[in-house]
Amino acid sequence: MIRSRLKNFDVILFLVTILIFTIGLAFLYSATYQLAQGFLLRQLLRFAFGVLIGIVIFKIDYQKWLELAYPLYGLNLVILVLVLILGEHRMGAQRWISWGNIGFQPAEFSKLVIILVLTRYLGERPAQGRGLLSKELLLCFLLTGIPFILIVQQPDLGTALTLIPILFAVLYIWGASLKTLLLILGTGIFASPIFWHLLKDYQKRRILVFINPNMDPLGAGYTIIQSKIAIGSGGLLGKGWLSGTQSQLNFLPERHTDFIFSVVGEEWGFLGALLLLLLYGILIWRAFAIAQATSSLSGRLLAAGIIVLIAFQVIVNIAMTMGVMPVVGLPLPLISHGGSALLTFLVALAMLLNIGMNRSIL
Amino acid sequence: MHLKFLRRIIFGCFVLLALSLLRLQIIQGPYFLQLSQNNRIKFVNLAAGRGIIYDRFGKVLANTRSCFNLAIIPQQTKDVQKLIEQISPHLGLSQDELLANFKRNLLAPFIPVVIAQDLPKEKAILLECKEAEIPGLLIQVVPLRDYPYAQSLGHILGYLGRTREKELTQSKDYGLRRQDLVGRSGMEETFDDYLRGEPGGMQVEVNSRGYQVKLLGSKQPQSGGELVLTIWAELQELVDDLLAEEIGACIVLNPQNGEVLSLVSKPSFDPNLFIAALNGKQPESRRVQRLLNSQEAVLLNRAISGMYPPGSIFKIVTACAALENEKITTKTSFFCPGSLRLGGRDFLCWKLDGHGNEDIFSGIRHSCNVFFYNSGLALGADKLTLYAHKFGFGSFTGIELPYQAQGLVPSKAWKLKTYREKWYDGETANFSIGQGYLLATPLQVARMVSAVANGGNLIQPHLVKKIAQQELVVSRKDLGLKKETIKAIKTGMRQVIQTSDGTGHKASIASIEWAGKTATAQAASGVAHGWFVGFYPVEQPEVLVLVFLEHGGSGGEAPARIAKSIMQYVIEQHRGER
Repeated sequence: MIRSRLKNFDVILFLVTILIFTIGLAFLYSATYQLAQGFLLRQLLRFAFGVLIGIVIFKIDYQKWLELAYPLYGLNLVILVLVLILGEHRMGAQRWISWGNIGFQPAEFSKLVIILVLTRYLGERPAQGRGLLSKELLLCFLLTGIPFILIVQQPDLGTALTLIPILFAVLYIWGASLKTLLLILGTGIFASPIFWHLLKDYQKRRILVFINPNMDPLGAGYTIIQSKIAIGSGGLLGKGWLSGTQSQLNFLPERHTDFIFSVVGEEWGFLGALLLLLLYGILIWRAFAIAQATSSLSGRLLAAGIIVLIAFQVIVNIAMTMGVMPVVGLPLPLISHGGSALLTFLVALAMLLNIGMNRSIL
Repeated sequence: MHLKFLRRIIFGCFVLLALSLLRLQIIQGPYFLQLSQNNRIKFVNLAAGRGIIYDRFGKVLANTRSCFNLAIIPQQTKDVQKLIEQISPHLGLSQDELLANFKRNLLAPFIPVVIAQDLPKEKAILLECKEAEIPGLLIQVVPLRDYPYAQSLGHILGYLGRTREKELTQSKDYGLRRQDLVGRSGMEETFDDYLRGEPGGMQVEVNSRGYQVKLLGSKQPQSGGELVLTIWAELQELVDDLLAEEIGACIVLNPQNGEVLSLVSKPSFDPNLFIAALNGKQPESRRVQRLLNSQEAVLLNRAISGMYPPGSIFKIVTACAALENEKITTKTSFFCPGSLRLGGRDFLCWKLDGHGNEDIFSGIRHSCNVFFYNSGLALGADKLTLYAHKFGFGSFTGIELPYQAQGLVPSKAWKLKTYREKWYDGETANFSIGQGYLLATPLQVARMVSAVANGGNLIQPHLVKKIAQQELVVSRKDLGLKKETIKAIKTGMRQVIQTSDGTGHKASIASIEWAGKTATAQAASGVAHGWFVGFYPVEQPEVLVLVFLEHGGSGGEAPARIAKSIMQYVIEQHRGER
């Protein structure tokens, strides 16, 4: 029994996670060693804490978490409301809740909670030729929409946006027809001018600057321009670890958080950036393998949600550092400095490993 | 089925990311690498000081001193208005003025903008202490040209100006840059390359705030070469004072070797004005504008660029030619009734009741026109032309100053070519007394007289004594004149000063004997030009003084008196030295 369970443990996924984190640490050091000490230690402590939590999660059958999905969802909504009332302002947004010295961003955990609640709800209702506007579809949009609006209010556009592909992916894997989903997506895009008015000024500016970074080269466009210069100047082999002039001479803002990929691109060049992309690719490839090996619908849905959670952030983050997508403020999974996000990813990966372990049971 | 499709979408995105990376890092890599280099590497110019110019006794004529400029680095300054408010009381300049300077000089955010130049040292130190508390403030130390003798040496030294657009393109290969100052007129122009030196620079790695992180490389500026002039600064000042408000020129030189001790052209200008104007000082800028547009042609160096009829001083050439060609001897005399009738016209002597019988000595002494009309007519125009050329008229003197005039020596051929008309005897008569078409610069006249004074050698007047630590040897050309010719002319010239009826008697100095010649040359219009030239000692002269006053009237009056004062000073100083 133990032996067969060990056989199911996805070693590659586990090792790749460790490897990505280790590379991340190296670049976190490169990005911060001149600023202040302690970034590295803090991130390591968070990782250790995350791994501990991850072990607990891994030990508990994911079905238990699905059973707790509704209460967790309720609790999450309460916390999101509390953030809006009590939350701490940092960098122009109200995203944080502090407990002593430790602050966290509830929105990060919301992503996982929403995946859980969608999985729980849809997992009990196999899709079988349902119509365009089935009850399930509407309810799923409602379940996602409430936290979405609360998160947009903070505002945390990046996190809110992550919820959309998660919702669509989970619905698609559940069995909703592509036509239906595309129709809804199309309607949403068509209605997006309405959302434009809901955006804060700085978010509007970011999108405008994405379209033309030179519009505001010293303001919002500065980061994009400097990030492109950093990555582009890395060339094939890069300038060497700790030797990136863009990052070391402080031309690149936010380089230890959202723009850490620019440091990788500058210091390790095309080959290094490609290596990192490849590692993420392996991670996602293994995650898909787990999803496919699972015979239970809810396991598959949960795995798909987690895959999209990670993949979307990798893609959007890297794309924005290269200036091919607007700057929406999403961290690079496992690498960007920041506790809440790291913990969320580790928990999600632990859950994924657990799904992988349980495939032979059913 | 659905999972595979989702996987395809995600990996499709990954491929797109990889392609974007390929484009950004490989295809556009060199471009972004250049941008990142531009970000981090800044070039800081280090100006080279221009070479110092000394007079013959080691007095500094053109100096390079350190000057303190106040600059603002735009990218380090949050609020320029506020910074200017803070520093304005220390500078004694109005905020509006400082702000205007800032706007005028702003080039790029990382290039310091100079808003006040040449601050007094105490203020500069005071403000330098504030650099730390006022970010963006910078006290620059730059070399600045300084001319201690101000306007008395303006024409010799010249002045500095900004590089012109045309020069930039022409001399790109020589490393001339937009900010560079180049010599305009005078020694500053002639020896511009030599004096300018080699500017240096520092390649500096800067961070995002423009602060220096690392020095990548530096090249120390190379100061320009030094120049020792033949000029005697104190004498130059004295001459400048003596001429005061006059319009004219004065040259003091050594007739043996051509060393110019003093060369003054009036009106003169202070080259320091141009420096101040370049530094953005408003009153000076306006004065420079007035100088450039002045009616009196202040910037014209009359000693080398002004062309005037030499008048009676040219009689020396006529006498020389006539004696050399044996058209006259020391025994020859002509009767002067006050005029000479020629081709139906009366050619007047300046003394209308006539000089009576005049020989070469009294002819020179009295500056009798009729004697020289006759001598000239005996010679013919061709010989006069030949001898004028021989004595250096009509050709550059070789002095190291730009914008020299060549003068004009007429000839029969020249007249035919220019006026399509034959040469008349009357023109020969005029030619022989230095009038008519003949035009010369004061320096050409001084050179001609020097040749007689030193026994028949045409010298090359020059201003440079030492360049690149090398003493300069300047040759002179033996004209092959007979000793008797020289002796006769010198005798006449001594009488000009030493005898009571000499035209230059007002230049006589009690204790010494010297020789000279006056001229009162008719100008095209207005009062005649006054000339006086004299040298001392008569036998082996060491000093020659030439005074020229534009429309200054009789040469025996003001010019003679000024020349006397100069000669007295030179002799006194000479004795003092012994």
